[in-house]
Amino acid sequence: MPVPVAPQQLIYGLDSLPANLQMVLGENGTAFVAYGPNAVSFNLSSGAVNWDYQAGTQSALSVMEALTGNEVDVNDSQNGIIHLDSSGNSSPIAGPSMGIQTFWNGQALAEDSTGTSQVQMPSEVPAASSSWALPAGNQSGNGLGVLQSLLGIPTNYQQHQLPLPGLPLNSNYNAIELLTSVSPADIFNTYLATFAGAGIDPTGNTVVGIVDAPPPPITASGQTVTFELQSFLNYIPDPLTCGQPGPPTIPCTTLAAPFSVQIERFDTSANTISAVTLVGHPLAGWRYWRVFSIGVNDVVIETGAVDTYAVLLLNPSRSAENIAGYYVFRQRQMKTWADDLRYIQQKLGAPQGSTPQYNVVDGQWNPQWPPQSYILNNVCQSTTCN
Amino acid sequence: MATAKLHFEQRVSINHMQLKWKITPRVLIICIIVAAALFTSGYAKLSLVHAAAGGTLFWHVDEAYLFLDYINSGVRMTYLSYLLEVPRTMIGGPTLRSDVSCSVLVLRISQQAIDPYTTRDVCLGDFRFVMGEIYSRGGIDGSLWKWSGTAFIRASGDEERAFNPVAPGGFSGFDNVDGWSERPVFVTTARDGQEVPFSLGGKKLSLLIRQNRLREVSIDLTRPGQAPERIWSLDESARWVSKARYEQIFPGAKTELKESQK
Repeated sequence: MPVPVAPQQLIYGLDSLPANLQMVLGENGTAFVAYGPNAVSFNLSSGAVNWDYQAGTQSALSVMEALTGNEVDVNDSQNGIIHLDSSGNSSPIAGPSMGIQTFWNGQALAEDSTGTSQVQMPSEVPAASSSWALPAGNQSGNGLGVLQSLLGIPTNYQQHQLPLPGLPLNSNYNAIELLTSVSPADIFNTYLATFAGAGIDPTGNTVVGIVDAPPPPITASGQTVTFELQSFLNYIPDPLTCGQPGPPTIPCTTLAAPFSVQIERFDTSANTISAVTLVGHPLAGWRYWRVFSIGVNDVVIETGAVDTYAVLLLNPSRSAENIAGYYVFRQRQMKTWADDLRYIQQKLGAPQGSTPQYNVVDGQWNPQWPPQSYILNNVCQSTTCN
Repeated sequence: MATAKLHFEQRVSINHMQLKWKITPRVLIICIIVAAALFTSGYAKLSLVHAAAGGTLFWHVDEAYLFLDYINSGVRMTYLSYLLEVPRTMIGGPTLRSDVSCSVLVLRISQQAIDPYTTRDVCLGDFRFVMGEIYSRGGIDGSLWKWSGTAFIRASGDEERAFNPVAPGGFSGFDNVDGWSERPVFVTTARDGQEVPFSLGGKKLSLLIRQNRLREVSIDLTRPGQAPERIWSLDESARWVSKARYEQIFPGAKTELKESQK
């Protein structure tokens, strides 16, 4: 396939072989390549150019890193580091640099042209979901494609963590029927959209707690909610990780890092919220929460999940922990939402109904009902999500 | 051919010689120390406590009330159990608490002063404004409590029946209902740098929420023309405390300990 950028003729390298232009993969079939003063975004399958950024004729551009949303950072030998958005519009990041050094924790340092100071690149922008977001694959330049977040370092990473093919998908389901005159919409707005009772156990034996969320309530899909395991060891700040950069609201902990989900569906007409796990979560899968009426003054609040353990290809020890925790503490996952349902019941002061199908407060693992298709349909209105 | 004659030490088996070495006094002492350490780690206990809080601000013309609900959770575990918490936490196991105690601190903010009022031994939160009164349902038994102006007291049966659990307030806040307004200060989590503006006597004031990664949470009050004043702070990290201090935080635990020692 011809590369949609200069040169127009074969250029030979020092080894007398045709020069190998370094390409970097972006998202959804997009790739980037830079040569001379040009940086180009193009479609991998068709070769069609999305945009062609052209710097001054004296500039030599090189791609530094592909970013989410098919944005990219390039190093301009004359003008410094430039950020190009998904339409190819440029904005400067740092002045002319002598070299860029990227680190496995996602940070990058650019040494200025005088060689006397270093500029820390913005680290809040995550790499593209491609496993080839950096030239030559990764920071070591050994050609091994790797997602930055596979190491689990950026805890607020926004990439979905979906079940890997071949892993066992399990479901779990909690529900409660409440006899109350409070409408499903009010319950949704007051308790589900706020995650108010998530993991709240009056006896103090909570499983997880929310450490970061939009100012309650949840108002749209795409928002992120971050949880933390309620272990006393997690409440003891780790002096090593506390010195590392990170959002001030995310505590620095030693053993079990906070983990996040992203709201996938926020549907006020169906009083339903669903979420997908993000990279760094010990699980990979989806969960939904829903409230609906089954009669006069008779409502059901339910939550169900289809998930498996998260496997990190480059982090076998973390994967082993996830697998062990998934099976050893699977009851704890359901307890979190049993606590949530009981919290709502208590706050409403409502008696519990008696329909067996909807009174599964403590939760069931791989229940006969509902099937996974029911849960996934509530998650994404399809029997297969993402 | 002459046959070699072995001395006694040369004739004992290898196993016998190793056994003889193992039971030297030095090895015996080491074994006793290790056994004592294991026994102690499985018997002696340490006490861990952790505090968390939520907050809600109500205000009207000339006074504001900042409701801060605390929950202290604690656990007494053997040193051996504490060591086992490490792998347990690594695979996602939460700490099983032994004790919980709650209280509510209310800071009444006027144009001149800040007055604290504490109601002990009640687990509240999710404060609701209903018909000019502020209520909260207890977290342990679901009972309804009402703010009297100086303390939380049990609500009457009539109030229980009239209570609207989705009344304005709690998580979203409201403006000017019977002259009152409400904002959540932090409900599920604090947001570092979050500012909560409000007004007293026509003057604009604000609360500034600070949180850092060491789990220190604080609230600064800013009055017009004055430097910010820190009115509250809490260290939400887990800490080790003495047995006496633990029993002071969890009075019920003292009874349980004595019962278990009988």
